[in-house]
Amino acid sequence: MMRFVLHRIAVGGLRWCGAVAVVLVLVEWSFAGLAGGPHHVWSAEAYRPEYFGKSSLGGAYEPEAVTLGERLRASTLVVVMAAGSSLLVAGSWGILAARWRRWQVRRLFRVGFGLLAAVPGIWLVSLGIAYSHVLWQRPGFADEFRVSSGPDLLKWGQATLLTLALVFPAIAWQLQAVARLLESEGGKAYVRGWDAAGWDEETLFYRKVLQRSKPQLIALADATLPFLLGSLVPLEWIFHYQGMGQWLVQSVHARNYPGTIITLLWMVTILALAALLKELWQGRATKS
Amino acid sequence: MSYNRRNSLIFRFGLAVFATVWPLRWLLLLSIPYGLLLLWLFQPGTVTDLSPSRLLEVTEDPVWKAPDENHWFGTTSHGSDLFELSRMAIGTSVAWGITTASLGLAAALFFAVILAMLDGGQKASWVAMVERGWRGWRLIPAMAVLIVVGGSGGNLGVTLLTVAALVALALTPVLREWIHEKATEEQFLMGLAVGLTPFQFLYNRVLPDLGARLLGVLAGLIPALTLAEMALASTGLSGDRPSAGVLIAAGTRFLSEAPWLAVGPGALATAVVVVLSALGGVVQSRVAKDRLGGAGLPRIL
Repeated sequence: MMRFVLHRIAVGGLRWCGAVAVVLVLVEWSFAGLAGGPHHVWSAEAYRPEYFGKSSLGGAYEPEAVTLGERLRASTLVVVMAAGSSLLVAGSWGILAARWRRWQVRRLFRVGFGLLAAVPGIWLVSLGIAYSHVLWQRPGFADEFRVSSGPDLLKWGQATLLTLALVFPAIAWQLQAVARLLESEGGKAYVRGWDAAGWDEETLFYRKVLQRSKPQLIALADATLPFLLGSLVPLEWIFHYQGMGQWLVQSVHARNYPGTIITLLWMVTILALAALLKELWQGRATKS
Repeated sequence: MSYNRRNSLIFRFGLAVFATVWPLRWLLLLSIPYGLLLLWLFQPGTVTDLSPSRLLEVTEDPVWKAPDENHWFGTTSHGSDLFELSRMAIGTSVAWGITTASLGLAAALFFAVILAMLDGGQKASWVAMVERGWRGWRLIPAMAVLIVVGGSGGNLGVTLLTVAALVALALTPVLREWIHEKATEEQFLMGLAVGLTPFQFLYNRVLPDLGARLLGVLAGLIPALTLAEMALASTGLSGDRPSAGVLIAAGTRFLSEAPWLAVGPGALATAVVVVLSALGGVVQSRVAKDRLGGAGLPRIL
């Protein structure tokens, strides 16, 4: 087992290095090549200390100086909440949909979540109105409100709203994928054999079909993560949520090398860690 | 009177056309709502200067109006009808989605055919390696769009080509698999044995079967890419061209003073994307049900 773990860690590290190289090449090509900027990725001048940790741009509402740590925490919270809830809801409801396949429950769930997922414009606008217009008479999340004592419910509230806007498309997709996988496993010849042997349908589903599909189900665990991270960028920008996605857009606007590279590395690291954990979990499930 | 007379050329031609068209009746029927929607979106409007920087600038004394019976979505600070503006902006986003999807799909098909011809029906190890690498790192190219678009200052050509290249990268392995399904190694060798060139084999046997599947893929890609364009435009990186994303993002700045600036374009964009997604879903399920080879459309859709 230790050999397998070390092997996966080594592969994960290689992937991470490859991704970092791709990011650096892209930034160089885009900022120095396409935009004709004066600096290169390797120039020390491109990494002036004032660029680190603070936003160097201001939009309609000048964002307060936010440290890198605060941005990291804010965005990681949203990603963890969205990925966790997508995994839990889609996993459990997907299993339920496959179990009740004769009533076409998968389609019913798909329509429900699909409708919620297909209306990002409405989500953005209605959540924005509900949260900022009614409460603060301000668009987006008002920056000057700070919780000085007690639990920071404001931060959790903002993160929850972003999570809600992110999570429905992810659930719709993942639920469908889980249910389809189990349905296709349930249609295999060995299941018909156990059925003919007199096994109860429920026992057969939970003991055989679900158990045998475990490695493939685990393979779906991190499938929505690229979508969640990619969607976080425009959402944070529109909601004025002071996280990594907002900093990425600000940095790209300002051709800010450290901001662009750090935000991309944050995303790459999250993906690499998720892939590593998934592979370790999958390896353990396959072995058992 | 002879009952043995051969049917006329016109009758035979009509019969052949009917026999070809009949299996595609559902797709043809579906092309009507598609056509109507696109016709409505692309028809010229009354707003002539569509530069977002001019349309969305707020003067000291804005003349915007709340929605009424003449202006369903209200007007902008310059008095332009927001419904008309939203329709044209969404038309631009949809046109972008259609162009990118078509370009990406064409490039994917081209590369898949080249790969299939190079490895002669058996997947080469380097193809498998590239596919594994691609599956592992889907996010980097997605973020690459943002960097490349930002670097090019929202240049339309660069944006189109970058996204089309990503679509091609994602779809090439899938199309390669489909070509594999239709052309196993034995079939390919038999084709060569009876004197067909690899190109003739692909052209006559594989591509006709792939046609319907590609239609399903295109129908699924269009709403997804339209949405992607809106998201990209909402970050202000799409240059000075109208887009639903630009209108929504600009409207959210004035939620207190003029909430209709965001609500109208948001609602219309949502409706158009929902209709395109629903139509895409129906096209895909018809392609699968009519046994046109549509089963197993790629998971990314």
